Amino acid sequence: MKKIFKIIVALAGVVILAAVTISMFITSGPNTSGKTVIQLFSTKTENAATYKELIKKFEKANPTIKVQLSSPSNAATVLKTDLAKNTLPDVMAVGGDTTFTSLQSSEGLRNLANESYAKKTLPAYRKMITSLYSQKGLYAVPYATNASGIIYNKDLFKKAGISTTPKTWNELIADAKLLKSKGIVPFESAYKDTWTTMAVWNQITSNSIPSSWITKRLKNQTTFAASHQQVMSKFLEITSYSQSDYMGTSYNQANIDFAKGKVAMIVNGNYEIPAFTPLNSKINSDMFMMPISNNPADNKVTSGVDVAFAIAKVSTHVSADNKLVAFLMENKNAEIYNKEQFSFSAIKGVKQTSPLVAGITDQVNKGNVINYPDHYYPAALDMTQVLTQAGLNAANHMALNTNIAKSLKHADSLFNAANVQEK
Amino acid sequence: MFRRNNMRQAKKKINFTYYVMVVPMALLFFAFHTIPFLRGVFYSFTDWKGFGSWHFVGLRNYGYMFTNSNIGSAYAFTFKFAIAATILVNVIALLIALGLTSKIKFQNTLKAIYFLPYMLGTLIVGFIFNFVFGNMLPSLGKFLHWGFLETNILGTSHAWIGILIVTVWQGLAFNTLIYMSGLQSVSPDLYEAASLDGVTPWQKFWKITFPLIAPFFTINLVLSVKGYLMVFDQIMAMTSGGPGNSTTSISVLIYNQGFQGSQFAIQSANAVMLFIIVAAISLFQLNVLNKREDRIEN
Repeated sequence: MKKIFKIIVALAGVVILAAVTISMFITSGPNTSGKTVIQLFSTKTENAATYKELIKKFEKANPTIKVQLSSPSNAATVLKTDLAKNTLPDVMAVGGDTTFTSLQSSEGLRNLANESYAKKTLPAYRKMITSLYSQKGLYAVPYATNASGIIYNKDLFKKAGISTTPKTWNELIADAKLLKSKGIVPFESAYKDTWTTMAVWNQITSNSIPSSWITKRLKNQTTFAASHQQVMSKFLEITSYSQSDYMGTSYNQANIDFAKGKVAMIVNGNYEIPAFTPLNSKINSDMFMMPISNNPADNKVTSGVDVAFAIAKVSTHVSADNKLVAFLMENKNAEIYNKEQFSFSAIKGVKQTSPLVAGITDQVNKGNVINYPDHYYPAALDMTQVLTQAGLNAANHMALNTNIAKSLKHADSLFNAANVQEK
Repeated sequence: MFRRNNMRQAKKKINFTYYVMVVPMALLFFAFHTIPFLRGVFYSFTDWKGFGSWHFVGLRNYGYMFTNSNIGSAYAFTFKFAIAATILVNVIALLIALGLTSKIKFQNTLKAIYFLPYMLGTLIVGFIFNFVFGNMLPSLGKFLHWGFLETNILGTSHAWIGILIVTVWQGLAFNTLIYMSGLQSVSPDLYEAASLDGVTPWQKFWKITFPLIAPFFTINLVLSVKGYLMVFDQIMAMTSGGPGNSTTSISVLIYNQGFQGSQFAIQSANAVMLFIIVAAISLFQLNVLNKREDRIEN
């Protein structure tokens, strides 16, 4: 009996040793002979090539530092599992959304308010970050901003005889009708990738519902059903002018179709441009502000912080992290980033000059912008579920009014279920 | 006295090699499966969001599960899916196994073809079928002017059927393999004797083959139900639970809401419930089917 026990103990020892050694290999990563290794984690996949290019330049200028870039496709989930393990990447490039809010509320981030690069940023975008939490301090420095709108094919507009972009909702729908009558698909919607529904919903909501609504909704003083009828109706109107299989079309497929000149418009944001330009470099496209109101002066561009840099408190080499962020935020590097990503800079003096976003640049520069409403929804509310269901109901020929009422009720019940835990 | 002596001898005879085989696996299982599971059970009684501080909340999370309509519909979908997939997989796998064990030409080639889907990862299969449903079938539908093929089935109310087809196609191989090994264990003498008695093929199957492979039927049924109640990969690859929540299985819901939605504790409670249900169903099946096996054998 003793012998068996001894053997079991010995075996347990071997197994534990093996497990520890293996885990050490996994966590320490490639050992790069005395260099400081810092991780740069990006929640976006579209800009990985640009980061790689900038990192190469950075490593050349700082030979003692090595940067490991990771930008997984399910980034929010990966970051949250990291958070659950209490290990965060050194530098995180996050969006100004609920993922960042969770990071911030876990108190895992450093306050960057006093860093020199933080002072280079535009106050309006700094405010978009600080408005996401109640504490004082700047826990992420805004870097690039996005702008939602409608991406359109100029050639197809010309072919249909449309010379100026629509300024009001009625004009937009009239143009869609005109395009349809000429045999051109007005909108390409890609609701198989559920997040694309939010690009439409957010633009309509931000221009129709006052930003104070969410505070009231969290206290159950109002509901979606009471206030969002117009929003849902406009959302469904866009789908009614979309291609027939809008529920089964993926984001990639939409980009392919747009690059081939098969569709006139896509309701989404500037971040989609680098996804279709490589497919057809000669495409004659531009963006315009999605006009929601029938009073042109009321319309605003829905814009938010697309990339902001945050540094983890647990990072063991903060000076190297700071160096990397400062480097990325140098004007000439920010210019490279914005040129390649068709984004707008949060840094003073860095301008976007691409003709592919020319129709919207003025509005952004004027500051005629409004933030994304879903950044303030509870994290557990999956609004895309409501919107894809509404789209599916429409595809199944449900009567419009029934669909609106049903979908908004659905949204309210999901909101209530999600709101319980937030307290 | 004699008996005790005998027992002692029996104890001494145990070879250490068996412990070497069994113990490391048990330890690994405990470290990487049992401990995380117990931690999950623990967190299901707290309000942990997946990060930050937490407090005990007793059974609140379990109560919350009954108020959230999403959780209810995920259970309904998962049961519907598991039942349909189990029936289809077992019926088709048994038919294929019968065909492959009879004397046919190209037997080995056909076996390889039927086993191929099982060797591909579920995610890969999901992505392949994403393309098939999204691009190939709609183009075919347009070419043939078949309206029902022109839209991507994954974007309709029938999305679950698309996932079911892929799941069945991929799951078949494993069950077929088990049925085949079952069929090969049936002695050919029995069939010879039966053919002398002049039984019909139908009688041959129901009176001889099926009773003799009953243990294999049991294990297939239990494994299928257990596996399909926890369906995850193919759904993530093909619809991630949409459109709406029409293809959100319990596992998909746990993953999405638990991590993305910061409802770690609530979804831990959900996972504990799923575990209890799967374990209960498996035990129930084993009990009922074993009794049936016993009846057949006597």
